[in-house]
Amino acid sequence: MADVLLELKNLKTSFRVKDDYFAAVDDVTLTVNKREVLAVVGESGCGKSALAYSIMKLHTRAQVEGKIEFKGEDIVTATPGRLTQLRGKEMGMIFQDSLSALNPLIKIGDQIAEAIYLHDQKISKSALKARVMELLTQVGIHRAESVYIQYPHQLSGGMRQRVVIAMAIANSPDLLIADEPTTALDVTIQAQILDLIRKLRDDLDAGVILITHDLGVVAEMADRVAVMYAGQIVEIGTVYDVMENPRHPYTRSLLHSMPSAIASKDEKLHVIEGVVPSLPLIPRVGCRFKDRMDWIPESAHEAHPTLKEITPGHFVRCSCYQHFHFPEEGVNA
Amino acid sequence: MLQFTLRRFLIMIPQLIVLSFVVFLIALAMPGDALTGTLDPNLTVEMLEIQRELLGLNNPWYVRYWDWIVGIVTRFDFGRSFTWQMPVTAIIGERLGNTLRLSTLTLVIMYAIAIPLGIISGRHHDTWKDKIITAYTYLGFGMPTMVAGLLLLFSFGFNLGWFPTGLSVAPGMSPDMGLPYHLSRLHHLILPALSVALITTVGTVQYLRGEIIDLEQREFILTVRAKGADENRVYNKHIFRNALLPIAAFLGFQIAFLIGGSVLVETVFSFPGIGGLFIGSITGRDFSVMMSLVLLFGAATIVGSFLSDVIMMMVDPRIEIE
Repeated sequence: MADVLLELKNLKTSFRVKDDYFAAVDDVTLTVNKREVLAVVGESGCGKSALAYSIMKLHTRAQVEGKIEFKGEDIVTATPGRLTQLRGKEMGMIFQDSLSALNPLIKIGDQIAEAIYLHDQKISKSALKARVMELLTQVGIHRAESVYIQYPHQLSGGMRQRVVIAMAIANSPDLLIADEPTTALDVTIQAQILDLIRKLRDDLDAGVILITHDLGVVAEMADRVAVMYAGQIVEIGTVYDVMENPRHPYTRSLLHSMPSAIASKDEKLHVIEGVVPSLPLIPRVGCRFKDRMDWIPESAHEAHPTLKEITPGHFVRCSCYQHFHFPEEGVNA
Repeated sequence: MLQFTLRRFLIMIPQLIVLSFVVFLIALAMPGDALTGTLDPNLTVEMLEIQRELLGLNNPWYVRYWDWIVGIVTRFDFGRSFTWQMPVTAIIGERLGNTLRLSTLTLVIMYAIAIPLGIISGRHHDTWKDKIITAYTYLGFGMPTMVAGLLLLFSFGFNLGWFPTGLSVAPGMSPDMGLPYHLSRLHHLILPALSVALITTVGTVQYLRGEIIDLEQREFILTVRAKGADENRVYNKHIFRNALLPIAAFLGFQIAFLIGGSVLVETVFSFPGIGGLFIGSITGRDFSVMMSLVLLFGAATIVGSFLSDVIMMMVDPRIEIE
């Protein structure tokens, strides 16, 4: 595969809970190519955001193991000084909650300017301001002059999300990580923001990791999809493979719980019983999704499930996918 | 902003009126009056009664309250002290300066201790540095100011002789001596200021530590890191500024607290401030002095909270006029 931008190999990110470390991201292997949108989906608490933050090593107290190779350079062993050069310059991060992602005490313009200034300390004041104005216009903010001097709480959610995006793309990064960029927004604004991200991907030639739990967004945006559960990737493949031909029980359950575009009143949505186990309670051996499909016999699971390539580029974890059926379907041989 | 400040300022007027009323009622409720303790064999009960009548002590309470307020507002007359036989304003004025100087220095030392310690403790929490600082804060919480005062007085004043053990200026010094006079005054302030500051600052240290630890988890800190800021910038620019908000908001109250709360340390250091005067006025039933001081302490709190609100508004853009 040409043009590999980012390669993760057996990535493991652990957080300390009381006296022990628990892996929130466990054995994640994936690649992101240039100009590609990789969607990472899963329920809340499955490790999507932890994965996103690990790639930039944003959590100072997390323990990151394995390999993160970005444009041929190892991120895991990079010095703090090197990391500050890469962050914001080569990799940009778009955060989910734009209100908490902005410093409440600093004017919008100054916060965006900081993203530029940190990587170009010799820039003149006027050039800096001109660049901020340009960015604001680029992300679709028309009254840039007035937004520049406003504080985060004075803007609407959609505007703030644009500001967050402007900061992420300030230095035209090669990799854009978007952590649920549209979750906090209403539908019309969502579409605008997604259009914006797509346009940026084209303009910047960037690779995009799009973290979301909105399968509609995935279908619309992604080239490839990784489905995460309890810190692991359970299925990964092209958007067609995963959305049209899902194999892993978790992927199938997720898709099954999505209402059809025009739902009839009596359509009963599938419910995945139970919840994603909290960090210390994640089962560390065997199939992690086992407990939420207890009607499937124990023998269907592998003792040590690994990702297996079932068709070229389409990987599924654990053999249980071959035996899975929804409870209402009855056993299919 | 100016409008808000003005409005916030006007709110202080009813607050002060209520305060004056409460102060008056408290004094009224205390047994005895200024003539109760007068032990002069030449005075008869009738003469005392005439004196009471002359002083207006037999008037109904609302008349006395009105006379008191009118005196304060129109002539800045807080009455005369029975003990000192001087106008209250003169006695308090003489000592208020000392107390204000003491509180100012205390405040400066407090923040000079709290800000660096709080930052170190918060940024490096759960390390040995933090543990030492936290141990100090617990010691500070556990030790009363007067004990700290006595310890400092004993070691640096009495044993080592580095600092004077009392008063506000060396005997024989006068203001026309210029610099030596002012240096002597500063010299006399250091120990009492230090003993209050060392103890009262621990709350601020802990507050700052907690704020920093809390802010470190916030998402906008991740944003700053994601922009490529190094840890020094993350802490010194983004976390520090936000962590100072509650501290700044507390500044006004801190000032009020120091003016009213210096009673014990002034006693320990026989420092001629309003603290000692206050205690004397209570034991001596010197009502006019006592009431004026309670009024002053209350007013300091009201002005302090006004200052806090104005400071808050200046530093936090999210606070707007309602």
